[in-house]
Amino acid sequence: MAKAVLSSVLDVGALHAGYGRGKTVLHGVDLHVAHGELALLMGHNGAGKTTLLRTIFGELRETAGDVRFLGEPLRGSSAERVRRGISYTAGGRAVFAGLTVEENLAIAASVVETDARRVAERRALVLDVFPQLGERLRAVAGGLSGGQQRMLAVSMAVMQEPRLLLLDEPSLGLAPVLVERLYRSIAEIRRRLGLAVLVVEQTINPAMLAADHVSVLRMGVVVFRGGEDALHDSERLWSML
Amino acid sequence: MTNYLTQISIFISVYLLLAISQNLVLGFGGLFSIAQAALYGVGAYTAALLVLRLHAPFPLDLVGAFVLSCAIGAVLAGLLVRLRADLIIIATLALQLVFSAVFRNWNAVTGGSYGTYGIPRPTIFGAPLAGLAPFAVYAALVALVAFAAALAVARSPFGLAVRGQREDAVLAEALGHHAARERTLMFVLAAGIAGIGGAVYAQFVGYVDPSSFDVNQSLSIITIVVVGGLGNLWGTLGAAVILTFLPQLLLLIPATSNAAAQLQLLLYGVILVAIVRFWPNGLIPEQPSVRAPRRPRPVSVVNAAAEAQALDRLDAVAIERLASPAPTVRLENLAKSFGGVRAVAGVSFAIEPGCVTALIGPNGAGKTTLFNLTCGLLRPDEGRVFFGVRETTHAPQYEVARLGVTRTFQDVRIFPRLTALENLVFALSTAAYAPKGGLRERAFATLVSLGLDDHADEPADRLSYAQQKLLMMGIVFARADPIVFLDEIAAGLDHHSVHAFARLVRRLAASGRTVCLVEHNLGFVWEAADTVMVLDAGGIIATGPPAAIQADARVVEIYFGQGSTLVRP
Repeated sequence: MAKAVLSSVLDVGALHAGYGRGKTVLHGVDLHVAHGELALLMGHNGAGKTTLLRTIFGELRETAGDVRFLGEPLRGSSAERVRRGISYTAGGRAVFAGLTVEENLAIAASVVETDARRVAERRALVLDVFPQLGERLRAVAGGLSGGQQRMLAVSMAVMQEPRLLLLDEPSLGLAPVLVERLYRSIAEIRRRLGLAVLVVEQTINPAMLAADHVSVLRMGVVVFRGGEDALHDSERLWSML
Repeated sequence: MTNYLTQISIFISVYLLLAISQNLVLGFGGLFSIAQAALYGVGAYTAALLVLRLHAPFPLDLVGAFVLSCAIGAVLAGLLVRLRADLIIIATLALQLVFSAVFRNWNAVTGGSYGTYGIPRPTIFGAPLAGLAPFAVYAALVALVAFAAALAVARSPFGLAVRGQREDAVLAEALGHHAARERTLMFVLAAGIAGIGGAVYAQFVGYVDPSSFDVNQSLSIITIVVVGGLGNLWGTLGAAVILTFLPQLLLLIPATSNAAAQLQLLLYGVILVAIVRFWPNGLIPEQPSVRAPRRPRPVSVVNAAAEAQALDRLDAVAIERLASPAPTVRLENLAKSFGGVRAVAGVSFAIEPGCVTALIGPNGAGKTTLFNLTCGLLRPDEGRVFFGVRETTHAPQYEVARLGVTRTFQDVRIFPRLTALENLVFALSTAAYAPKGGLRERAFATLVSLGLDDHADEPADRLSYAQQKLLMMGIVFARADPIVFLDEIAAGLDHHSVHAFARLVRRLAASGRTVCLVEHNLGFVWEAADTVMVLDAGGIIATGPPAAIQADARVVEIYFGQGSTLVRP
């Protein structure tokens, strides 16, 4: 039992959350992500996927149930959670559009790490995984293509040395070939840093099959959880969305 | 004491005129002008000089002040309306300082820093307004007429148009509104009202000097408007009364004379900070200009099931057949570069009516740029655009829109602080093909068919994501334009909703309309499109029916990647 707790990064139990009275979106969600795992969470529009990520990240407060991170109850502001090792990449273009790629990376890192050498190491790793960003370090983030901005957003999260990375629809608005490339990079980061990743998506792309397990959220409840077999049975997955 | 109160009431009238002016510009128009005191000064000097030098009888002084401040307002608007929001602040501050300097130094006309004295009270229909009380009534009447006029403007379609361009000028122009002109008109009208305020002030105090029209005056007017509520004239009325009285009330605080003045200032500051802290939207927030014809049914809980199926409502919306076929859209050798990068490099094609044409391609291939060139948001460097026989290569967005073109933007783009109903009324008011008149009723009917009628009076940004998407499509339905450009409408949707959108697009084409899509969701493209064009590095590399494109080896390599077969059609 003790071992199970140790290897667990994120434990969400009977979580209720939402946007105030009468606007509860999550009705008792259970979800577990173990160390080094890539967990995929799927669901229809309005199922509560983003709400769940925002609650884990501390932007919304749970009304019942609990969220545990590395076995400890998770409390406090989003900023504290970043320092504890949770990074969140919101949907859309979550970058500082007016700053350069380099500045974006530096800002993200500055929140958790002041040691210049470690920041440089982390930066080298990020640029190794996303070489396209290395070519455009001096470019203003707002001028990057949609795909490059998405890569930058993920890179910024990685700069924060998280133990758990939360990604909200990273594939949105990307050409299929870019989705593939992005997921390959995510897998690479996960392999090299050994971090756990929870990705929310609502369309199935073959690149996502790299996940360790998949959960399906419907109307605020996890209605399905499966491993590799489930991921390869895309007909069945589609039917549940 | 009575005299004292009467005097204050006159100042309230003057401040009300100024604050109305400021609110029309800042609250409704979204232009952060710090130059309203300059226009107030223009009105005051004009009225003073008309009476003193030309012996102009009432109401010529008032009319003259109105006309000249409108004219100067028009010149300033010409300088300002195309500037970015932050530059407008700087530019109006500079203009305010320039006007102050002119008032202070143009001795021959303004009397310099000494000012102009001896302005007589006006004589109205032979009766001089010598007493305080009659003048107070007159000032209040002028202010109330201006207030009523401003209210009427705020509630008119023009008022809605001005608020729409404040929210999103690009979207406003894409829906056929000439945003810059609407903003200019609002600025000119506001300048005129400030000018009238100046005239009434000059008539009352009998002298004008530059210190009354400086930047501090501009700032106190802005304070009234912010405290009252941006975009709400009743709030402005309330704040004009309260903030004119407040310093007077503070005068009643007993204290030794020196400390009293300091204490009054301190308290005034504290009260203002408290108001903006606890009522950030002002005493009365902005209200919608149109409301739903009936009250909403109470919605007790968010129904997740209903939310998941929300986009199914698209199937229920009736789409009328076009009486005559839509014109063919033709692009001839279109090219556009951004800083040396050729985003679109010589693209030619025709979009036939009754068909769905999809543009796909890698990010950065130039798809959205092509949309922007076609719809007039960008000017091509080379090449031409035709809608039927009409060339629109250099036509601005709002002209293209009025030819019968509706385009949507990536993600969700609606006017966030307008209500759902106002969004539709706005879109309908310039629609070329929708029947005229009954805007509110037709806008509401669209909301009913989309199942959004209970949210008609809610600001659009409070709707859920699916509801916002529905509202955006409601704009397409309501305008009923023969040509529709849809930019990534299936992004961010689950597959259930994607099918609903695909059925919708098919129905639009079946009704004789021209539909052009930019899309990454391939399942959607295969289901909805008749013709697929693949764009890469600004050029078309393949065109054909979906089946042919799926089999094209080159497209597979640059766009689909390895396992595209898994994407469910």
